[in-house]
Amino acid sequence: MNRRKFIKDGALGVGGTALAGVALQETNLAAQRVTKWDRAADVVIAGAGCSGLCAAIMARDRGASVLVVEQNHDIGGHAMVSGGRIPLGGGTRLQKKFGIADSADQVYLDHTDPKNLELRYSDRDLVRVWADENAATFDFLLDNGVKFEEVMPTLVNGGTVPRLFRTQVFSDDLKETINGSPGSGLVRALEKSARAKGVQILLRHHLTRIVRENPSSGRVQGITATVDDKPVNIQARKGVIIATGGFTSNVEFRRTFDPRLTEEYQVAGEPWSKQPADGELLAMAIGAGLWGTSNVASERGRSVTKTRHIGARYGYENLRWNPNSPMFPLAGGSGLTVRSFQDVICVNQWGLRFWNELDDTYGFLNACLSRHANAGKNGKTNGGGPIWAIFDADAVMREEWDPKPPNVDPNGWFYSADTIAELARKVANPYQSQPMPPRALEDTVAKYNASVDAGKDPEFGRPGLMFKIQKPPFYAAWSTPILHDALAGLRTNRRSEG
Amino acid sequence: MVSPESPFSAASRGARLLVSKPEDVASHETSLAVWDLASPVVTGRRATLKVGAACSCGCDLTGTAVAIHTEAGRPVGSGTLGAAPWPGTSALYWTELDFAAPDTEGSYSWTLQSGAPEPLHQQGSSAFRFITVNPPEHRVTLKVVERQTGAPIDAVELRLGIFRATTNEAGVAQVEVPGGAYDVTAWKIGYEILSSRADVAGDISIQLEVAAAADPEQPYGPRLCAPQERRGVVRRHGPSLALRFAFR
Repeated sequence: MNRRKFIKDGALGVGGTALAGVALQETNLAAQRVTKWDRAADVVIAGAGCSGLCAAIMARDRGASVLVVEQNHDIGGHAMVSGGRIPLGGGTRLQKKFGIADSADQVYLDHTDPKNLELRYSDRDLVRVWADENAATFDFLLDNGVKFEEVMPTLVNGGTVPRLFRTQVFSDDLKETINGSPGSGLVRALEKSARAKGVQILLRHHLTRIVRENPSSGRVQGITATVDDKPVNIQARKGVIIATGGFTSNVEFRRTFDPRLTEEYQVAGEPWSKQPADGELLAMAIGAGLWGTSNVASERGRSVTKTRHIGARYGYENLRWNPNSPMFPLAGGSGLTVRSFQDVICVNQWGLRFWNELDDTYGFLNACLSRHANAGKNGKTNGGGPIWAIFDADAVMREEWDPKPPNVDPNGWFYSADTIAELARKVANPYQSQPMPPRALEDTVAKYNASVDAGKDPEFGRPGLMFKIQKPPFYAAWSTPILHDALAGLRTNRRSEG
Repeated sequence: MVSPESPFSAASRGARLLVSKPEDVASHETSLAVWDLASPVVTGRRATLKVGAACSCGCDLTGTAVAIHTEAGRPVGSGTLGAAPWPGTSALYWTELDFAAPDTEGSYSWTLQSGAPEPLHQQGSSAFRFITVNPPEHRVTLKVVERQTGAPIDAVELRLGIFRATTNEAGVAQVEVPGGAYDVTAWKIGYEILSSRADVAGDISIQLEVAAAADPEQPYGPRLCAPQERRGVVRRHGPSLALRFAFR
């Protein structure tokens, strides 16, 4: 939500980035010039997530005709499967209802506080505009049918005033909510309002080009999208708004900021929708820049997170896939929710422990992303490779797990075996670059068990060692860190123009 | 090594082969699991453990010999694997062995070996480590209660140094230890880890007060606040002494 700062500032100023023409060197490539428009609207928006839908409603409210293209088969983007946490304050109607005094100035101060380890890097020009529009944007959501849980809001983002309200799950129908997440109440309500007001939404339309008067100069005239691999040229008479979300699904793009974030790291919000950086790349191709990128590698927010639902591909802590979700065949498994890492050890693809598993800080995550006995001489050097949680039958009892599908995904993300050596032999995964040596895993477990007996972990300093890994059967569950979505985006001015 | 020409005759002499394709012969590897060895082991007393063996091809290993060897290679216990796989496993054949613990305190790394009754299966071996201690002198009674309500908590895992115990339904556990100073740790899912230190010079009772952990659900968004440090009290009954500790 942080990046999707709602800014109500003129007809084109809601969310995303408005592109009004960037002067660049003219290159006369007439062959690339778009001469025929298949569709037209005053405002064309790429992305039907919470930013795109807000932008669409706002533009429509100001009298523009609006067309939204969305690459997914449904609206919502990552917001659909999010927690629906809306950290907007400044004196919203709901804050007043709970007797909370807040102001735009206080929102600004809180979000630029030099003691705030994450938000102190924010662009203060943009935070000022955002702070000024906080209350109006929240009330805009209420006016467009978004329903919130009416409970006392909580503090958020290290702020000083309770501002965090959570949207209500839209319905009990998983076809509508996809995974029953509160975020469905945000985007479904906005979709309903947008459609009622006459916004046109084109699904399965994938943005492939931002069209300018000349291929690389002149005003932005519209976009090209592809549907079923066929191009559709859409004219934007007044402007184009890029609201495509983040870039974390694009491996090479995210590696711009942290070269270690190679292909084995899965992304929160997938497989519902991907954030492949198409908006960023296409805007950059016509001269736009990136902005606010410090979050990606500052180790303050959640750019990299510890997997909480292990044994399935997508174990992001706040997104556990429901077996009845229409997306479940792609998600593959819900994962075993770890209540305590006391019950497991984590090993790398060589079968070796590498850190205190109870550590929830970036210390653990950096260790996951480390070299793992690879001295940089052979093969893959960036990225830490797969991380597997190893545990035994006693851990299953303690955690009250049921280590079977749909809780786990045995198709590459979860294994069980009668002995530790057999377990190592079974582990195979697209990101496991060589077999796990059975002797190495046996030695690792034996060494760990000896540490439990002795009450000390001399290698990694894990405190309060409680349980050996000894009772058959044994398990290996995918526990590789997972990346947060949407952490930075295109540079804009105070009017959200690129 | 296995002779590829004779896998079936080999099987008929010993293990009943479930997977009998000749190309699988080379991968019949036996591996072992060792569990349920109490820790620490008291010097000079008898100790028991369970050992299981599995073939990588799932062969029936009923009747296979298993033996414990010391670091010096001296056999100190043996048996044969039973006919029913360990519950929850597909083909882990197992038995319980007992052995005499060494007479001196220390840490040991001994070896379990499974026999190779026929050429198809090679010997499996696995090291297991254990610690021996002198016979205990004092009984420590530990009671764990919820900090706010005083209600007893069962199934709490307790450690006094290298000794361990689990509370019963009354929240009580007893452990016998030699005299000395011990780190006391209490742990249960859903509760904060509690740790402190206690001197044991006679039979004593210790009451531990633990608090439920904060809601483990994390918000969808930046985690900016450090976990709050919580404070609690360990009360030791008998000689009056209250131990302060901090835990998270």
